[in-house]
Amino acid sequence: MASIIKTEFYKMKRYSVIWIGVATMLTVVLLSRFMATASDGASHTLMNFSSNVIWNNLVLIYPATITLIAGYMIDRERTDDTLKNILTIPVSFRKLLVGKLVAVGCMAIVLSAVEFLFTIMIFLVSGFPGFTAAGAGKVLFQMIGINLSAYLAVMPVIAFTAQRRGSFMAGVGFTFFYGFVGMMASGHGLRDIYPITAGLTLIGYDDGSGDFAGNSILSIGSLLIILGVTVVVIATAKNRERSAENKKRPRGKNVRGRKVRSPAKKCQEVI
Amino acid sequence: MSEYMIETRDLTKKYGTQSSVSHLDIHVKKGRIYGLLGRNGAGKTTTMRMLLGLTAPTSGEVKIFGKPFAGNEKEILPRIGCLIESPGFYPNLTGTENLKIFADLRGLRSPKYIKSALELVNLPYRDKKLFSQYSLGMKQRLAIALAVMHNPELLILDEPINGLDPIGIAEVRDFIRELCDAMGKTILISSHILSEISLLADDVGIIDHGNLLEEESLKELEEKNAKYIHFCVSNAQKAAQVIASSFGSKNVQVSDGNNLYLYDTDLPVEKINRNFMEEGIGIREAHLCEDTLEDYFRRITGGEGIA
Repeated sequence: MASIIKTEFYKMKRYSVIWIGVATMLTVVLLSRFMATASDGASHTLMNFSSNVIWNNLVLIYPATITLIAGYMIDRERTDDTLKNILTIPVSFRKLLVGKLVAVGCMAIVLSAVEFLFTIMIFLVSGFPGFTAAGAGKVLFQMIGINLSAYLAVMPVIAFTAQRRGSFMAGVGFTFFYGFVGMMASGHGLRDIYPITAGLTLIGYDDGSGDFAGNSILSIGSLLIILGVTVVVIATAKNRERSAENKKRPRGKNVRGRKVRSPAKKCQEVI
Repeated sequence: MSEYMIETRDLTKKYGTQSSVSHLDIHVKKGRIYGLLGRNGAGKTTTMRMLLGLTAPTSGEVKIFGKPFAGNEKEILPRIGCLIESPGFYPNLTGTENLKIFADLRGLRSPKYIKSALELVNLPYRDKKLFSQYSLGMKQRLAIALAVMHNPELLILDEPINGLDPIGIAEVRDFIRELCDAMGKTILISSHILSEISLLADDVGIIDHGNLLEEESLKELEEKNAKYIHFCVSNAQKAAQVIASSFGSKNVQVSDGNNLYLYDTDLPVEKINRNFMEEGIGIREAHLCEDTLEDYFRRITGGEGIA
């Protein structure tokens, strides 16, 4: 397993998809800065500015972004046609999937550090007061913690959609919705139960309203259930071939059974 | 232990009601090159994918190294090197970096494996060129390097000369031959190019529409090819009568007024010519002809040719 994880890091070399993560981290910090500009009169300390960044990232961008990056990393084995080389070593699809999930988990930590750096940079450039090293350390811990718990929350979706070519985009759409619903769940006292927001209590997140007392046991329980679901999805995972379904389809018809013009036929006519 | 490195029994793959491979029984002997010959879409790649466990057979059995493949994948696959369909590598990495990934996954720690595999296919070690910048020929070479890197006993190569230029084809052919002759590897190679199979293979399996039509050594196949003497004469009918009366052979075929085919190739051509001239039959051409493997292929597949 160690060599599978190690090779996952090699594969990231010069891999442009990673920059999607960096770009979204910058976007969310800038978004939070603009929101701070809009909230005239409020004092912006490091803690409440970083809390805004954490919240915006969690419910708007992060779940879909990490699903997108993980999806690309897994699906590239099919699009680059390298999966056959791996399966014939043999490395099972299940082990490969676990290796990918661990590598993406490490990337979640790196992206948290990137998010933290952008947050500190924008905070300092904006001239907000209240920067302390201890506060910065706490912000880094919170960002890593919440991003890892959010990653855990979307992991079953990643593991499920990884099994078919191109399915991860459906997963991205779903996790965007899943993350967004976190905003409403949190507002209705479900913060500890809803998997996306369950990590907020564990990192000691303070939304400034002071009207929600978190329950760590519920949060841990919620995340453990998600972890259990992930384990079940991985245990039953396999590389599912879509080609078989396509081959069942009559020639010249699409998935819905409608007639399509065959490019192959056109070529034959030319030849 | 079985004398066959690969043996399939009744191997079948169906997609819905359509059979891609039907009741295939192939036998690949140790230390030989087995050429699986067939047109595009004949079922070669599906067969190879089933041999490697990449596609599950609908029915039938695969034995490799004398053991059933199902249940013994972890023991069998590390002893096989393969190239299936197009070369698959990470486009953002160099050739050496790509091979390093697969070497690590195979537990090959020393860089000598990568170095020697690249040397074998004439690709530079630690080159800066990314795989995405490789030509088709270079990609194919890298795929062959990957297949041989771990020194496997058995190689399964699906159309390995695809995309190579004529010099590259000759080099790969020599290299494959050397792997078999000098290093004792057993090789299963597929191709739709008949001339390549005839130049390379020791044994040939002809596959068409998923069915194995013929499985024999190349020597036996060549012996099966018909030999005949083709005469182009002024009067083919009369020439046939001369052959029958002077040499007692009726094993002739007159195709039209001028062309005559004599299948008794042991008869003395110079005497036949002399008799024709004595009978006033003009001779324009006389050739000793032999059916090619392509003619044979055409015959057994029902008239459709191959490249």
